[in-house]
Amino acid sequence: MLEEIEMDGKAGQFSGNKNTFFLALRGAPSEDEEQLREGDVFAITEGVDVEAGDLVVWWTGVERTMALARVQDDFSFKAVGGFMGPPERLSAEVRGVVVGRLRHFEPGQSQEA
Amino acid sequence: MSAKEASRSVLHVDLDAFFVSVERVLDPRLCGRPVVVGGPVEGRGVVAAASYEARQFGVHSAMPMGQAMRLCPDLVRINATPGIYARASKAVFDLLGSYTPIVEKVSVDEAYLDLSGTEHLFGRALDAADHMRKEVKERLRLDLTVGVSRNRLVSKVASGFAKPHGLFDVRPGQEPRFFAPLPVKVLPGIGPVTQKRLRDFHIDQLGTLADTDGWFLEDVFGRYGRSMRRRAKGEDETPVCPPWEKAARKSIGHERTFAEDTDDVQILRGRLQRMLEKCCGELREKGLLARTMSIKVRYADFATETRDATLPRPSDHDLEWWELAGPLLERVLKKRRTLVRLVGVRFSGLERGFWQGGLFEEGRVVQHGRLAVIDRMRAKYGEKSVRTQNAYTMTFYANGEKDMVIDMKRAKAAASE
Repeated sequence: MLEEIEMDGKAGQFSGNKNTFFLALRGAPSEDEEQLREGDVFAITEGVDVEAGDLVVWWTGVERTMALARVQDDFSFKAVGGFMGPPERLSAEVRGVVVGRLRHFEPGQSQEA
Repeated sequence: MSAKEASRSVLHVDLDAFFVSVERVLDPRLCGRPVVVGGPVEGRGVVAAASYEARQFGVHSAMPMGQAMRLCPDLVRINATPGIYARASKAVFDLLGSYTPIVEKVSVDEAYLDLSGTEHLFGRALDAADHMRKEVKERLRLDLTVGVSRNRLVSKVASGFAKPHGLFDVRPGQEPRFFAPLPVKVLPGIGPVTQKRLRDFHIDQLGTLADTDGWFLEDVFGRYGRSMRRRAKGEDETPVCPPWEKAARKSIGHERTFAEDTDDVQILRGRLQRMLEKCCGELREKGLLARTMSIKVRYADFATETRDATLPRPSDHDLEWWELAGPLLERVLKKRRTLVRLVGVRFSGLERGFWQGGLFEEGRVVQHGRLAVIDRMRAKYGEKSVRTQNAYTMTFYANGEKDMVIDMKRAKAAASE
């Protein structure tokens, strides 16, 4: 599940821009090449053109849930990290493009992958 | 952007509150408390480093200690422990060096690493960065913050976002979008004066700066304007430069001014040879090879002559260079019959590598082996302990005895004693 969060500190400088927001990954994702991990925080920019290879967040249409997908060369979406992919007949509504990922560890916290 | 640039993986690593963290390793009772390392209040000391707990009270480095104490009455002040930070820093960067040889240390607690091409060993940069942080924490009990991207500039800004104890990975190709909403001040090199000038033109964010016409920025800021625009887009092709490459960009040389001017060719040759050997010893010690040698002769009237010689293959072999340097010196000296004030030798065109003799150069290979023995003897007994006369004879000065010509067996035994 992706949960919108407020960031403080330096990362909060993003939040000053209305086009940028943060989503935290809750729950363990399935392993794939995106190397997602529970607790990962994604910095998302909205209102930008989507390009092949981008990792995007899209509205699933189920309540207000969002999912991550990678844009393929033919501009179809490939689900990542165990998130659902859009049904074939449904055109996904993209909320934004992932520009970066923040991974935090508190001192003493396990850093196991 | 070239394919090589596109596939780069550059990390910026920063040790969190480094001095304080090292002190906490030494004394775990300091953990969780507001701590500063720095000079005493009475001595008008300043804060050298502050823990994150202290920073919450507004305490920061370079602040007068008295002011820090007023801001945070429970502040624990510790005197800096000489030598310990350098040792801890070396331990960390030695460990990071096991991930890639391309490590550029920029300060005691900060470095850039180029992980390009190491994917088959440690996986993608994100995996390697995670592993690195874990290893530093487990083995040295220090926290590392890491920025990951395709270049130094973006990784540096990214690590700033991840502080403390974090990792920020900027997705390849997203550098302009990552930078766009950020204030111009996050860009290294944009100080208060440039910020103010940019603000005069309503340029507050990097996205606005990136969208500004290059000619306009050049008009206002000169050549720096265009470079600033490129950097505002997250473009940076500066390579990560490890110490041996930094050395390679420079040169190694020595020169000597005589106490009394001389025209004695034997003295000049002897002095030049000693300096040449010293330079070659330094090359071998640093794992460098030189392509070009320059000799310099300054006469009593301060007129200076320099001559260059280049070998077809780079070398750290004293005798290969001396075969060029000796005749070169004689040619220079023949030009003028004037007393010489100074001689010098300099090696440039340095590159990383180790000398390797050719298939039919057995003699040269044996000589090079002897040079390694001489290096060890000099390291053990001092610079003047061994003086070469020619390729096969050495004079060994041990314990004040002089002119004791020794054979290689004795030399090796002495070096390994």
